[in-house]
Amino acid sequence: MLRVEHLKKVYGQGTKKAFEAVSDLTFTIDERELVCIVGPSGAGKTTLLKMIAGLLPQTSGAVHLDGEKVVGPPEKMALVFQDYSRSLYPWMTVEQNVAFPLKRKKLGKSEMATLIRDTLQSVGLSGHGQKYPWQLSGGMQQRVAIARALAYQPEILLMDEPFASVDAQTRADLEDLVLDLRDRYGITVVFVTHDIDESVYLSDRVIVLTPSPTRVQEIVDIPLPRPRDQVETKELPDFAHLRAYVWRSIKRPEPAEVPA
Amino acid sequence: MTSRQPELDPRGSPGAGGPSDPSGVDGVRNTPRELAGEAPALPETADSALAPAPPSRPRRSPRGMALPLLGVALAFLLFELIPRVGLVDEAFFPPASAMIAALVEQIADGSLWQPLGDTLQGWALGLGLALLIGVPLGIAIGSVYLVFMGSRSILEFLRPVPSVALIPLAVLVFGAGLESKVFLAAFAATWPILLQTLYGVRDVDPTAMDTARSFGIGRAQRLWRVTLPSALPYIATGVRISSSVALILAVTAELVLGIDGLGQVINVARQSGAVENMYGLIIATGLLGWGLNGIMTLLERRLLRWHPSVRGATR
Repeated sequence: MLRVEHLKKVYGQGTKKAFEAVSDLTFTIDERELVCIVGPSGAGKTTLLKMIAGLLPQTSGAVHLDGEKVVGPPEKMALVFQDYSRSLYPWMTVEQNVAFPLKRKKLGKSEMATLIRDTLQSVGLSGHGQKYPWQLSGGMQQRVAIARALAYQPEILLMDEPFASVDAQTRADLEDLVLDLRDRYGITVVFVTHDIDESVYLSDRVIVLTPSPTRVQEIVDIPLPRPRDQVETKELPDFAHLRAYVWRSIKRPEPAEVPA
Repeated sequence: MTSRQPELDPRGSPGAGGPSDPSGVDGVRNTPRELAGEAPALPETADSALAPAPPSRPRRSPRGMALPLLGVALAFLLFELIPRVGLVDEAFFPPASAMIAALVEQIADGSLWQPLGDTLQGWALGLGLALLIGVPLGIAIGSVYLVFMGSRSILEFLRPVPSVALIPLAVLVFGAGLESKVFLAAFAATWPILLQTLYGVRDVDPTAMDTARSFGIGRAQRLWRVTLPSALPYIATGVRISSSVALILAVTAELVLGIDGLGQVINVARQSGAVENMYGLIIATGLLGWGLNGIMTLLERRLLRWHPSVRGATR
C-alpha cells in the first residue's frame, strides 16, 4: 500500500524565487489498484511522481510504501518516463536495456536470459532483443521501457505520462497492454496523465489535482466493468458521465495565468 | 552577425556537410574543425563539420570522387607550373614533381622511417598522457558542481596559454629531449580532452540519470554505465582534436629544440640546402596528420555506432 501524507514541495525555499509546486497532498493507493493522477498542465504531477519514486526530496510530509518511509528509490518500485528516447540508453541493445537494472538482483545467467525473454514477449517484442532502441518505432520503444520496468519485478509501477508522445492507435494498444500486464503481474499502477479519457478508461480511481500549488481536488471512483474494451467501455453511458465529471472537476488556470 | 555565425558557430555547421556543400572541398573543411576545436563543441556538430560522415557517403561513388581528385590534380599542376615558368625561384620553391620525387626517394632508401617513428612516438606518448590526465580530471570536475564552479576561472586562464610559450620551461625542466617533446604535446593535448570530457559529463541527460537512480543503480555504476557512455561522443571529439594538436606540438618541439623526429630532419634539410627533401618531409608530415585523423575518425565512428551523428551511415 502506498500512503502519501501531507506531501509538500517548495523549489528554491528561502530564496526570493521560492516556488510552491505541491502544497499539501494526502491519498492512499491500495495494492493491485490502478490509479490515474490527472490535473491541469503545470499541476506538479511530475514533481509528485518524483517524490513518490524517491528521486526528489520533499519539503515536508512523507511517502510510505508498505509502512516504510520512502527516502530513496525503493526496490519495489519501477518508473516509466514519458520520454523513452531519453530514458532508454541508445548505446545498449533492447536486451541490454532490459538487463540494465537487473545486475544488482544477482540472478544466474540463464535465469536472467529467461526473465528478459519473457518480459520482452509479454510486451510483444519477441525477436527485437538484438536491435537498438532507436531502430524501433516510438510505441515499440515505450514497450521496451515498460519491459525494463517489469523485468525489475516491482510491486508498484509508476508511469509519468508514458503515452503522451505516441500516436492515437499506438496509444490505445499501449493502454490495453498496461491493463493486461496489471492483471497478469498483479502489480499496483500509478499512472500520471493529462488525458481525461485515458484516465477514466484505465483507472479504478482517478485522483484529480488542482493547479499548483497542488492539492487533491477530488478522488473519483471509476466503477466501470472489467475487462475494459476500447470500443465497448467507451460507449457506455457511465463512461461518458464519468469522463464529463472528471473534466468538470479539473480546475483550469485563469486565462491570465496561461503563458502566451 | 547572424549571417556570419553559421560559418563560425559549430552549432550552425550541421548544414556544412550536408547538401549545401556538394563540392566537398576537403582542404577547406579543416578550418571549421580547428575553430570548433578551441571551444567545447557539441558532438553532432563536430561530427558533421569534421567527419566525412553520413552526407559524404555518396561521394564514394566514382562520380563523387572525381571532383576532389580534380582539385588535387589542379593544385599539383599549379605548384608544378609556378616554379617552371619562373614566377618563384626554383631554389626555394622547386616544382611539385621534384618534391614528390624527393619524398619517394626518402621512402625508398628508408631514411624517412626513423624520424617518422620518433614523431609518432612523441605524438602517442603525448596523446596518451593527455588522455590519462584529461578524462579522469574532466569527469571529476564535471560531476561535482562545486569543483566545476571553483576551477572554471583557472581553466579559462590556463587554456589559452600557447603551449609553445612553455618551450623554455620544458627545456629548463626536462632538457632538449623526448621528455620535453612529450611534455609539450601532452600539455597542449590535455585541454581539448579535458574540456570535452567536462562538458560531456555535465551534459548527461537528467532523465537518463533519473532512470538509473530509480532502478537503484549506485553512484559508481552510474558513472561507468551512464555518464561515461553519454559523454563518449564529446570525449571522442576531444581526442580527435587533441590528436592533431599533439602532432603539431611534437613537430614544433623537434623543429625548435632539435629533438629527433620529422621536425628535426626538416630543419637539417633546410640547413644543408636540400630544399626538395625539406618539402618532401613537409608533405610527409602533412600526410601523417591526415592519416592519423583518418584513423581517429574511423575509431570514433566504430565506437559511436549508436550515436545520432553516425547511425544514418550504419543503419
